[in-house]
Amino acid sequence: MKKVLVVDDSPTIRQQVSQTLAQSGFEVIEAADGIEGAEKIASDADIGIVILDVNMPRMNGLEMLEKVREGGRHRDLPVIMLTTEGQQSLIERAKLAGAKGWIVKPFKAELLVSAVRKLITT
Amino acid sequence: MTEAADKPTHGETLALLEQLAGVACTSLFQAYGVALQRVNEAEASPATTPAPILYSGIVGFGGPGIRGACILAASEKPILQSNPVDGSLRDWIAELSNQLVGRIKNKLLAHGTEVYVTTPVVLRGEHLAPMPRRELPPLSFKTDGGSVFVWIELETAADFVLGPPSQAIAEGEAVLF
Repeated sequence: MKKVLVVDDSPTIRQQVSQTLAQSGFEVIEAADGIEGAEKIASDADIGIVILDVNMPRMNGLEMLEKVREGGRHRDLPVIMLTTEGQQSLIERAKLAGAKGWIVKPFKAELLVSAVRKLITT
Repeated sequence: MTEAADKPTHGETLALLEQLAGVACTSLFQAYGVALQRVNEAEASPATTPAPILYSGIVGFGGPGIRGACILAASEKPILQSNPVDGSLRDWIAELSNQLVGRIKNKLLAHGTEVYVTTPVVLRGEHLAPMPRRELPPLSFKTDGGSVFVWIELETAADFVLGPPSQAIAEGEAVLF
C-alpha cells in the first residue's frame, strides 16, 4: 500500500494523525509546511494520499495543492484538507484545485481512517 | 414591529459572542476528553487559582466591523489531559488556542460574519491575565484538578450585528467531494 503524507505545521497534530493512521496499518510520512510537502510529493512516487492543513507558514495548504496540480501533474493524487477553517470560499477553492475531502479539526479518528481507506491510491 | 426594533442591540450582540465563545471552549475540551464546568469568577479566578502557573495562547482576529483577540489561559493539568499525544506543551496550547478561535470563527461565519485570524502567541507566567481597556471578566471553567480561562477582548462598530444562524460544517465532520 502507498504512503500517507501528513502536512501540518503543528508537530502535535502531525503526531496525532500519524499515530491514528499507523494504528490502522498505514505508513505515514510528515511535512511541516507547504514547501516541504510539495517537495516530498515531487520526490516520492509512493505517496498515495495527502492530509493537508490550510494555515501554515511559508506556503499554506491551498497554495501547495494548487502548486502540485500545476500543469496537470499529480492530478490523481487524493488530498483531504484537515483544518480549523470552515469558510465556504476556501472549501470551493480546494474543490476547484481537486481536493477530495474537507475535515474541520478536531478530527474523529474513525472518520479520518475511513476517508483515507476510501480514497488512497494503490 | 419595525425592522429597527428587531435588530439586536450592541450589548445583545456582545453577549451572544460571549455565549458562542463559552460553548466553543467547552466543546473543544470535550472533544479532547476533558470536561469543563463553567463557574463564576468568584469560584475560579486567574488571580487566586491554586495552580498559579498558567499557559496562555493568544490569537487575534478581525473582519468588517469587528476586531479583537481571544486569550486562552489554563493551568498545566487540563492542557496535559487534553493533549492527544505526548508532545510539546507549547505547541499544544498554541493549537488549542487556534482551534478555539477556529470554532468561534466558524460560529461567526454561520452568523454571516467572516473574520481572519493571526498566528497564536504563547505565554507562560504566574496568574496571567490581560490588561484590557475596560473591565473584562474571563469566562471561567473548572476541571478535575485545574482551571481554564477565556477572555474575548472585542471591538465592534456601533452598527455591527450578527445575522441569524445558518448551517455550517461541524467540527470533526468529514465531507468528501
